[in-house]
Amino acid sequence: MSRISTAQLAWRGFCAIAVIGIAIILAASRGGALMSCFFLTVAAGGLYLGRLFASAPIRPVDSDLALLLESIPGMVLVNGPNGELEYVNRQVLDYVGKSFDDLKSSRWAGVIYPEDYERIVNAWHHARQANQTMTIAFRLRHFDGTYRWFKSRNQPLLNENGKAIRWYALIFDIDQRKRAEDELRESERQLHQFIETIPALVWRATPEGQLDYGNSRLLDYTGKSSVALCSGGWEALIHPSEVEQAAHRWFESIRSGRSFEGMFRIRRADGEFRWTQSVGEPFRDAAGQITHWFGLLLDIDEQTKAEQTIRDGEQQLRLIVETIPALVWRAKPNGTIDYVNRRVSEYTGMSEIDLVNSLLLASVHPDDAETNLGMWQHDCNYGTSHETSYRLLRADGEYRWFQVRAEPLCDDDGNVISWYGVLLDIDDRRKAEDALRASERELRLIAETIPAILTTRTANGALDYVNQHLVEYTGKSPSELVHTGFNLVHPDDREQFLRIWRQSIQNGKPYRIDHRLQRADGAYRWFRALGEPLRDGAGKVLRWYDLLIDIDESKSMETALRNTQARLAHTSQIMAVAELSASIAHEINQPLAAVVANGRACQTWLTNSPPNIERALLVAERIVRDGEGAAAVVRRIRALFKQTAPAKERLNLNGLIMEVHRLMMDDFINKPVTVSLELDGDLPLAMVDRIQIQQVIINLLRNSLDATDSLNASAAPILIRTRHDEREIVVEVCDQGTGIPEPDRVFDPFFTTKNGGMGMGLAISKSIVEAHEGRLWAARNQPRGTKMTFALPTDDASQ
Amino acid sequence: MSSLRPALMPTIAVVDDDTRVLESLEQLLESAKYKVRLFASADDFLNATCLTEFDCLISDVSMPGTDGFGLIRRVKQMRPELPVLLISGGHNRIVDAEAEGNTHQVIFKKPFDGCALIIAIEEAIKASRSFD
Repeated sequence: MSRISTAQLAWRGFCAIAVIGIAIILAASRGGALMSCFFLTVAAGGLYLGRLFASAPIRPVDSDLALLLESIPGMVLVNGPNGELEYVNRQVLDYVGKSFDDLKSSRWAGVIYPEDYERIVNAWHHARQANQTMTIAFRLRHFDGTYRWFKSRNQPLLNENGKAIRWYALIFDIDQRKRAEDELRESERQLHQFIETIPALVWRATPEGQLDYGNSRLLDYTGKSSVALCSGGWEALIHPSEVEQAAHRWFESIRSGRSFEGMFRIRRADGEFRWTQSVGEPFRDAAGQITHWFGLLLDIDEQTKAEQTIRDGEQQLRLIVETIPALVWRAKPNGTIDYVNRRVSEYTGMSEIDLVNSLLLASVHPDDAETNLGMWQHDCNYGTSHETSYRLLRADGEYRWFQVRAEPLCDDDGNVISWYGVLLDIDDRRKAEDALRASERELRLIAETIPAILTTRTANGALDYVNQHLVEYTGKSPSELVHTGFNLVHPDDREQFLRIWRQSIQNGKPYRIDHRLQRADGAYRWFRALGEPLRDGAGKVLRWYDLLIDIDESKSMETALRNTQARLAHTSQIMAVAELSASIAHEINQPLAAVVANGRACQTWLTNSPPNIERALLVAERIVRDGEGAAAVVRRIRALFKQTAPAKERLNLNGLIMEVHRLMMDDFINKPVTVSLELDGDLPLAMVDRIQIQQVIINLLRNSLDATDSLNASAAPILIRTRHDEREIVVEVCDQGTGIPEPDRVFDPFFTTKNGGMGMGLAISKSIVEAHEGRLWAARNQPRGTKMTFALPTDDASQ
Repeated sequence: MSSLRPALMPTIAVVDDDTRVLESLEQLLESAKYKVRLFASADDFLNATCLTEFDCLISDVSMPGTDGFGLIRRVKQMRPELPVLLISGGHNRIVDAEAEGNTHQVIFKKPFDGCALIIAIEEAIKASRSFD
């Protein structure tokens, strides 16, 4: 086995110490100047130790060196090739409070913290196996029983074969650093935990802007894994419509190194984009180089939306205020207007500025201005609601009526913050109201002045208005009338009045009741009550309007008229009787006159000498004839007026007509007329009074003769025609005489077209025919004249 | 002419639409020695060419065509001196006649006394002759 020279050993020892020193210096570079000095001293110690061990075998020989080792503020120990403890300096022994032999024999047990012991043993074993430097931290027991952290670095001194021939160890107190590290770690852990649990989305990015960290809340929020978050970057998070702007700002910040601030929507795990605000700050190292960007994302979605809602609301409110069809304004607490809506400007034609300068009041009608200004100031002073109306000048120069209302807006203490007012155009309404009032006044005037009594009633008939006339007439007050009105109706009329009236109220039909009403002086006068219901659109009665017209005079006149009419009727009856008696007298006086004249003639013929017996006999015959004629007339008249049942017998009217024709032959002889007969051969029998029907035929024929006679027409035959159908026998007497202008009137008594006629003929004839259940009528004959027709029922039909 | 007429045989014209009355007056007047001519209507009488032959006219009031008053008016134009006596069967016409102011005219109401008529005729003829 070859041994290395002492010089070699010393060099190597020096190198080892130097390495250790440099390592310590490097390690302590963070430690500060004080630590650096300490390690420089140690390094110097190491240098000397190298020289010591290079020149002599182990055991401290040189007192100076030993002094150095024993006094440096650090622990040094040396182990042999097999790990056996060869040397520890006094600092070690002082610290642990044990002797070198105790340490060597116990192999550090009881000094090294039990939990660290095995780890050290293993590491030591491993280091010796591999002949490599061991660095290990462990806790070492102080003699007072407390443990402190130490760090040991065991450096092997190798021979040519690379085998450790000695181990040098420097043990230095790292307790403070260890504690600082632990605290730092704890602080870091806490910070990390804080970052992870903070209710904020935290991110970190590289100086180039690449995301490289997101806290778990951000990961939860975005629903991405850490890797996905970092690889996807911002583009995967931000709403497409905001990406560009956000990126622009982000890169701007990265370029300039200034804070980043942006607002954009982030896609949440559930896919919803939510508004977030993001701030980023650069983190710089000591040299001012940016090492990281740290940032926060704040979810401001709710807030943004709320703001948006408020903004929308405000917008809408403004829109409403600007567009509502009213003039809106706001005033300061002192009453000065500080806002008007567009409509105010439009209406007044003034600029908003002019209006705000209180010129709105300048547009108020001069007659209304003073009063209203006073009211406004009063309300402003006391903070009371303002309500009035005045005329406001429109741009075109017209004043229009406005209703004005203003309410104060107060703070919590009740101080007026501002006034809000609205002006409503009520001009049309006002004018309509004025017109209505005027028309109402007029109507009332009419109601009070028309010369009639006017009342109105509710739908159920209760009196609710009476005009002055009723009050004056009855001498009763309206309230008395409401309760006792009906008592003023004359007792004789009351029952009927109430019956009709109640019926009308019930069925809603207009009524008209004539009744007597008691006047204030007790006298009754006749009134006509006219009631008319007023209905609504659905036809329901709303109200009754009653008009009472004084008809007392007309009622009296009516009575008088009726009396007059009665007298007239009586008179005409008397006259009719007189006329009738005249015509009857005429009918009888004719034959009587003949009788009397013949009688006197007879007397004369007989008293003449010689008596003319022949002529006396002739006139005597005529006396008898005419006397009988007169008697027949009387009989007929009696039959007519006593309305005795006619002596009816079954007859053929043709026979009756031929008889009349023969009887009247004498009448025709002296006249230039012919009477022809057209008789129905199959004429059924009729049940008739011979004399009466003969009288009818005579009357008709005589009328025709007279008409023809007065015309003086020689070739105008009179035609008597008979015909029949199943029910009736018809007799027609046609002439071509003068005709009659009013065929319907010829049957009136005393209607006559003849100067000599008495007008009874046709009236009597009609009565006779109707007494036989027949009809008699007149019509124009063709081509001229009159056709008189009567129809009698056949015997079968009359049964 | 009238002086040539025999004094005791005056001629009387009678107008009436009733044959019975005409016939009875013919007998009455003839029995009193008057000459009589009968007419059934006023127009028949007026159409007669010999108005001058009559000494007196007796006419009914109510007749078809021209009535008694109408006849008097016509006769007064043609022969104002001819005496006219009216006979009437009714009353209403008389009332009308009074209204027309003809109250002085003698009207005999049917039936009338034959003696009274003859006396009236004699007086009328006498009066008319005194005018001549």
